[in-house]
Order: sequence, then structure tokens, then C-alpha cells
Amino acid sequence: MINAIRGINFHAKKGDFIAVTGKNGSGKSTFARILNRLLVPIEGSVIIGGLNAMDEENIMAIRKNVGMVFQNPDDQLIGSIVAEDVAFGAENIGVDENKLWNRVIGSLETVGFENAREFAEKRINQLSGGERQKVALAGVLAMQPSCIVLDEATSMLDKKSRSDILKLLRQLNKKVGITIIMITHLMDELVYADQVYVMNQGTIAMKGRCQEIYHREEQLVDLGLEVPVQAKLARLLFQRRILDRADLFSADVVAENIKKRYPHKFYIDTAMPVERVSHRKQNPMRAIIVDNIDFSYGNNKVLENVSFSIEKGEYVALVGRTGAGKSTLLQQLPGLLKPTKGSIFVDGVDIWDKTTDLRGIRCKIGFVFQYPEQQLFAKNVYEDVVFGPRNVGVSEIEAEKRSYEAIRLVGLPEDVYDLPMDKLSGGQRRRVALAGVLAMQPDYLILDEPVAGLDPEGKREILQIIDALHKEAGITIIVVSHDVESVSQYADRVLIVGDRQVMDGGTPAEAFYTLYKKENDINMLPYTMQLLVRLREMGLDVDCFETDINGCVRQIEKTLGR
Amino acid sequence: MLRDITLGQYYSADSSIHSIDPRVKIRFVLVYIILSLIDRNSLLFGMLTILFITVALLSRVPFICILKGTKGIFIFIAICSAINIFTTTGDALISIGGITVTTEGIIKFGFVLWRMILIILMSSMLMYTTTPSELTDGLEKCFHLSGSVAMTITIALRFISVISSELDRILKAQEARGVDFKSGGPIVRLKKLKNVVVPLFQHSIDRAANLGEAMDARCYTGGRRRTKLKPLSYDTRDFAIYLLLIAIIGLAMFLAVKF
Repeated sequence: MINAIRGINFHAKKGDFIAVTGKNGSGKSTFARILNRLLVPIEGSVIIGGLNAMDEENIMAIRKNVGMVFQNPDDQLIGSIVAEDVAFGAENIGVDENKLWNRVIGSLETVGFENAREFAEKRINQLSGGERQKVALAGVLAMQPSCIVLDEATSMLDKKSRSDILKLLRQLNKKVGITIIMITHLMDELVYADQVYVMNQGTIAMKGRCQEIYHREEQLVDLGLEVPVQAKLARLLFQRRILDRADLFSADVVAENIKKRYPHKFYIDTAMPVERVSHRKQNPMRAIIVDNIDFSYGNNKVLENVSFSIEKGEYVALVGRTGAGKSTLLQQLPGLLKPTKGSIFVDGVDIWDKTTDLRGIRCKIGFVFQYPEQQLFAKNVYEDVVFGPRNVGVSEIEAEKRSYEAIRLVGLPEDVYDLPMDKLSGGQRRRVALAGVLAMQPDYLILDEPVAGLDPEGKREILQIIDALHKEAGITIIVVSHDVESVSQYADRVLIVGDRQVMDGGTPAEAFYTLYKKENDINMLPYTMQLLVRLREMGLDVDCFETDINGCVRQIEKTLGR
Repeated sequence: MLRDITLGQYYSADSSIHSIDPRVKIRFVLVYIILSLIDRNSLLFGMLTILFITVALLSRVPFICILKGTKGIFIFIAICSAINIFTTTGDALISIGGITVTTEGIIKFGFVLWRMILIILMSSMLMYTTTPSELTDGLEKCFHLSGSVAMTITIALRFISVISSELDRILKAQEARGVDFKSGGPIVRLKKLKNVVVPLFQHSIDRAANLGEAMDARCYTGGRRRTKLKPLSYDTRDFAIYLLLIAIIGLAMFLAVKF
């Protein structure tokens, strides 16, 4: 028997906003389930809202009082129609039938749906991930709890939806007085909380205010976590004496602070830069070329007149809203979906030409789907990895050689070969799935959200593996990601997907700036650029196209003349 | 393909059919199915066809949508009922080898196909115009099911699209790793299928566990003491439809006996 958590002392009072963080497997989800009385500890006592959670009689009263929002919206929505789902919990606790509709509409309005009556009739599967998660939250609110526990509830959302949900939580906490306990491994989310608990191996390893936690970088890294870029940048600026304090974690506040200290450097007539794109020349024989394709699901046109190319050796990122058609687009490249119009060329070969061997193309283009670890099926690691090479009919010796090589490339030790999948951690399983694709020895590697759901350590490892595959093995990387920071750190070039079109966005900095201008949303930018853009808007003549954290500090120092 | 499966999907629209009590709709469709089975009679089938068209028009569900959702089943049924062409005895029309096609066979094929199409179309109208939870409330009342059985049906209906998109993803991921699902003999194909079914089941079980937990967290206890957002209640129009239904049965009997 393994103790998932042990010896925890935790106290929250009404109206608190508490964040609980820790790497995968640190026990934070188990802890969350105890608060909602989904689990009970073997030893110790739990008192929730004055009720003893160890007592069976109190189960329903506690669950009614402490609502819970889970990670995956699809796994917690019960109804097919918004109103049905929002009402589900309230129905269960026997809310009077005359009042149910008011509760449903009221909670939908609270989570920010303006046309709540109309929205209530929508079908769940027409909604985006962010909307679904808001519906889940509304379903909890309809039960009128005094506390809400969120178990990594934002980890599957894009940046915009994430910040919407977080703002909403802050509002519920400050205005309605609901206690919020937020389980997360997204380190930048901690700033929303008044108090942070860091868990490790089932115990509480650190506790304090967010700025105190961020300050202990070494310890955080040891615990498999990281200091977010906001905190790193603030500390650097503080060390350089550009800021007079290190605990400022929003671009607006940091920019205001700098302006207050150096008002004479800010000029009213500083204009914002225009969007720009640097193109590069390409060699069509060593590239994937998408030539004027259309694609529809039934009557629903997803792509229209799309053309772009990706040259061998590039590291390209595709960005765009959830549902913009990124996954659909990627599936065109190895011929998993056939365009309704137009052609696709891989190294000069038209993949839909009758004489083309599509399997040969698929050997060249590896495809790692989202959450690939969910698709593992073999009895042990080796058998899963060797599956691909065997399918394409290479000799058994060659298949074996390729598999060992692939397992080595993803940094797994030799003794995992015979292990069954359930002996591996989530991050390791993802690496096995990646090895299964690498064993095909592809020239191009497509990855759909490769770091989704991983904790900071797991994320860092996967990103480093991908970077090594690009730099050392010379594999072309094509990645879809919501993670603005990692895209700007690793990608050479960004393609912007949206409105059925694909646009070459140039470098990550250029592309994110274009997106920011288009959507007029500062969240589209990596944090360094958020700060530079804000400074420039206030009149400081900085170059906004800088994504590197040290580059950003130098840029500000230079402009301030220090 | 797999994404096109719209079985059991609700089409949201504001129509007079949508607002009918689900119990009325379920009984209506049941009677419709029984009527289409009692006799092969072109007048009776004609009346049932007109009835379907009326319902479809009133429901404001586009015809294209109805047809697309049921297309796959039609093809399957057409193939199955085609066997009538060769097995019915009567006047030989053409005879190739040992196989004889008869006029009676073709007529029988036509009727069987017509009948099945009517049954499927009318049942799909029930699904398009009734939300899964209304449907289960209705089934619960019509067939005296317990609350938890009805809840199981609701969830099963909701998860059809989730599981089918997961299946699509698994198939594509394996195709990308060199599997060709269209080649090989039956044994080879079965083996390939195993590799698909294992992760699909694993995934479905995980999701079911998650869902169960989410239901627990929202105080679900199996239906006791539950209140309902949309409690079922008959209005005068629903009784009028019951009367209409009796009239339809009478007319159908008349057509079946007299012609």
C-alpha cells in the first residue's frame, strides 16, 4: 500500500483563495478529493464547514457545500444541453422545481454568459473547451456552495480561456465571498491566490504567499516545479535596480512602476510598431508544400485556399484558437485526411497522386497525437515501440535496432524495455508514445500539443527532447501548441491558423505581435513582450520584438540609458 | 465517416414538435412502427410517408441533416433487404446461373426497404426533437424504468460522440504508424482491431470512472429525492395528439383491411 498523502495539516477559512501546487503524483489531486469528501483519510480528522467528514451522514451536506470542478470538461458534463447539465447537481440536492430555472440562468450569468437564456439551450458538443469549463463551473454554482475546489481545471484550456476562468474565480472570491481552493501546476496561476501550498510526495513541502514561494527557486526546481517567467523577470529587473521591488507579477503593474521611477524617459509621441513578417527562401524538393487546399467536414468548411510550406530542418509552430482547424490541418500532411481541393507535396512528391505509396509518405512524416499515452496498447514498452517498424515491413533486426535507438532518443533507461505500461509515470508513458513514432525514423515530426497536461518538469523534459531531435537528429519539427512561452523559446517560425486560413507569421515575436494587434488581447503575447508592449504604449521607446528574458532586460536598460 | 454518426443526437430548434411531451412522442413512434409492420400496402405506406413528411416539416430539422444522419444505416438495410430479390418465388424476370430474379422479389424488396426507411426516419425524428434527458424521462415513465437505468441511457447517448471521436483519433494514430486497415485477411484484420479496441476500452473505462466521480461530487445518489428542471406535464395539445393518434390507427386499419 502506498500512502498518497500523509501528515497534512491544512486550514482554510471562509473567503480564502488558496492554491495548491506540486508535480504530478505529489498527492495534490488526492488532497482535493478529500476536501469534497470523495475520499476519506485513513487517519486524522477532516472538518468541513463544521461537519465531521469522517461521518457517513455528512457526505451529502459536505458535497453540497464544497463544489468541485475537474480537469477535463468532457468527463464531468452529464447533460447534452447546457441547461440540463447546469441543473444536474441542483436537481440532485432537491432544489424546488420552481426555482431550478432561476438557478440555472443565474449561474450561467455569473460565469459570464450574457445571453444566458439562449445559451442554456445550446448543445454541449457545440461549445469550445473554455465554454465547457465555464458550464461545469456554472453547474457547481447552481448548487450554491460556499467553497469551490478546482482540480487542474484550466490545464486543458488555451491562454485566453484560462485567464477568463481565473478572473472569474477571483471575482467569485472577492465579490461573492466563495472560498476557492485551486489545484494547479501552472506556476503563473499562483499569483491569484492569497496563500500557496506546495506539495511533494504526499506532504506539504512549502507554504506561504506567492512571492515567497517564487523566491525559493532552487527548492522549487528540486520539487519538479519552476519559477514562472513573470517572477524571473521581476527579480532580474529588481536586481538591476530598474524596479524597486521584486513582487510585481503583471505587465501592467511592472510598466507602471518603471514609468513612476523614470517618467522623463516616456514620451507621448512614441508610436507602436507596425506588424511585420520576415520570410525565408525555400527549396521545394526538401519541403512539405501545401498548395491551395480546401477542406470541409460535410457542409462545414474548415480550410479554404490554404497554401504554405515547411522546409526540412525548420522548427515550425502552429498557433491559433482552439477549434481554428489546427488539428485538421496537421492531419492533411501525412494524408490522414484528404483535402477536398488542392495538393500536398512532400519532398516534391504529390501525396494524393495515384502512383504515390502513402505508407512511404507516412514513414517520412511522424505524427504524435494529443495525449499519445492514451493510445498505447502493447503489453510492454518494447512491443509498443516496435509496432511501427514492423508494420512497414522492415526486417526484425532492423526493427529492433530502430526501437532501441528511439527509446534512447527519448531518454528512457534500458531497463524499461520489458516494463508494462502501468508501471510508468504519465511523463514516461508520453515518452514511450513519442519513441513509437521515432522508431519509424521520420524526417518530419508533427506534434499536437506535446506538453499538454504535464507538470513543469515533465514539460521541460519533453521540450528538451524535441529540441534535441531538431538540433542533433536534424528532424523537422511541426508543433501545435497553446504554450506561448515555449513556442517563443524554441520555434524558428510560426504559422497562424484562423478564419479557415493559414498565414506565415514570421518569427515567434512577429507572429504573436500580429495576433495581439488582430485580437487586441495582451494575453496573446509571451510575457516579456507583454511588458515591452505596455512600456511602449506608455511612451518608452523600446523594441517590442524580444522574447528572451535577458534580452528584454537589456532592452529596457538600454532605453532607460543605464 | 465516423464523425458523421449523428445517432441519438438532438437538433436544437424551436418547433411545435420539439415542445410535445416526450411520452406522447415515444408512444406515437411506437404506434407508427407497429402500423408499418402490419401489412404491405402502398396506400398505408403512402399515408405513413405523408405523416413522416408532415412531422419533419413541422420539426424544422433540415431534411439534409436527417438524411445524412441515417445514410449509413440505409445502405446497410438496402443490402440486407436485397436478398428478397433472389429468394422470393414468382415470375422469373431474369435468370443468371442458378440465381433467379423475380418481379415479386423486386416488389417485396421495395416494400421491405420502404418500411425500414420509414421506421428509421420516424425514430430519428424522435431523437432529433427530444433531448436525451427528456427522452429518458419519457422512457422512464412509459416503460416504468428506474431512475438509474434512465440515467445510464442519458449518459450512453451523450458519450456516443465522445467515444466516436476517440476511435477516430486512435485509428489515425495507427495509420500514421504504418497500419493499413484496408488490407489483409480476416485474421490479420482481427489482430489489427485488437490494437484499436484495447486503448479504446481502456480510455472509455478511465472516462467512465472520471464521470462517476464527477457525478458523486455533484451529489448524485441514484435518483432518490431528485427534482427535475423540466418535469413532465401534459397540456391540452398533448391530449389532442393522443386523439389524433387514435384516428391514425383507425385510418390505417381501414386502409389495411379494405385495400
